[in-house]
Amino acid sequence: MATTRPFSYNPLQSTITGTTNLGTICIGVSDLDYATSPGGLTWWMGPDEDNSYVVCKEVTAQNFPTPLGNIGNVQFWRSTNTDLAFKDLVSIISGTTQASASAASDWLLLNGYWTNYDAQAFINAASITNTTQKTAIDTLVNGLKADSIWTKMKAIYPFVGGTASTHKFNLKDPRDLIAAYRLTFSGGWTHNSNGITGNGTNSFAESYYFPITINTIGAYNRTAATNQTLLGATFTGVDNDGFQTNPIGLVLRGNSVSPGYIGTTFSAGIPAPAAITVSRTAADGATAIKVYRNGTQNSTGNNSEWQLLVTNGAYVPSMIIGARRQDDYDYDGFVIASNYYDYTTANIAFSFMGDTALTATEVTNLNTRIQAFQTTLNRQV
Amino acid sequence: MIEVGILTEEQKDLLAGQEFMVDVFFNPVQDINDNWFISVEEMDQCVNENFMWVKDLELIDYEPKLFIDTE
Repeated sequence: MATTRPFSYNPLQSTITGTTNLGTICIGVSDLDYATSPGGLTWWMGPDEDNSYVVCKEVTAQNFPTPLGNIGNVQFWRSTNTDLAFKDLVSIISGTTQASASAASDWLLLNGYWTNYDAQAFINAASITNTTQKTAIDTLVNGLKADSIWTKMKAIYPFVGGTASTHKFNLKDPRDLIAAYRLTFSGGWTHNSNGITGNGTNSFAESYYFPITINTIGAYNRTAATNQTLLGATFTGVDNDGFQTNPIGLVLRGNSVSPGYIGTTFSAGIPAPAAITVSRTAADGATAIKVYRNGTQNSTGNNSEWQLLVTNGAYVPSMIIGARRQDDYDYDGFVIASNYYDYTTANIAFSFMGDTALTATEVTNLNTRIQAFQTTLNRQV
Repeated sequence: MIEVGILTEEQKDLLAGQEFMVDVFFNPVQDINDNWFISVEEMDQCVNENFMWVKDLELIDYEPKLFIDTE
């Protein structure tokens, strides 16, 4: 049975129940009777998406050729579901050579096109076959794009599929490569339909994403994390007098008290359930770091030490999930110790890292998308 | 009390960086007494035929290594 969905041109970007807007492209996401013109729009079914990547663009003149005459308000393209075929298709659409499938998808979004590529590429990579999970991923991707959050993220780990082999993939770039920030799990994790759960003794997941450019991190933890780290990376050096400097880095950690750490808010531990988002919205200053819980700002933090780190262009160990990795350096810049601290026992059902700060509105919208994603998967708490 | 499986130095070297199931790697670490250990989850979940001996490791109580948090 073919997999299709309806599209329309929604010039006023009006909100229509059961649909999602991407600019002026309106995408049907519910079983509405589209023949009755929901929202007063004329709807057109898209191509079969089984084993295909599909692209859609509105036709503002509403004169695209159709079997019913030159009345179409959307246009479709389709390729087979390989990165090469998709890249080539977008190269033709854009009239420019696309360097990669991921770059092609970025071009489409930037230029107001819709595509199923990102959700489908992840679903294919992770071998997701469950219809509910596929729908949840597709809805999440469309929502993050509609909210202009998608391009601000470098890594999104939805932890869907129930195994390490499905949980390892980055929704933003689901290639099975370190360069794609694919996770490598070490130690005693528990993987199931609720996501990943640490053992508190030696479990962590390496992201290979170096936080020097990270401006947003976050996680959805279904259980509390006290004296534990959900994700983080820090380093210490040695000052000119031979004393170890305070750790500097980026950590989402319960009970953290250092101004150099981002997770300074939760002095009693990170509660659950919580979708925690930390974002740096200014270059420096006492309120540069904003910490949100479930979409509402919880506190601010000082960014001076983090800014110092960036200014110095220091090497920082890559971000890990489920613990905090800290590399210690001597004053010649050599690593003298690499340690892992604060292993978590929390059940983590979502995590993300981005190189661009989010506004308060974007954090609220992100929280809404994360909560809806968890609800669809029947694991929202 | 959390229990962990104690390793010899040689066993630690054999396990470090090795997969015990698809896409999950052993992570031997040291406890407060500098004993190398792996978790019971790694022992239970191991399906790598080269390392099935981990299921017979002696269990000890987990005593985490303390560190001076310089925050």
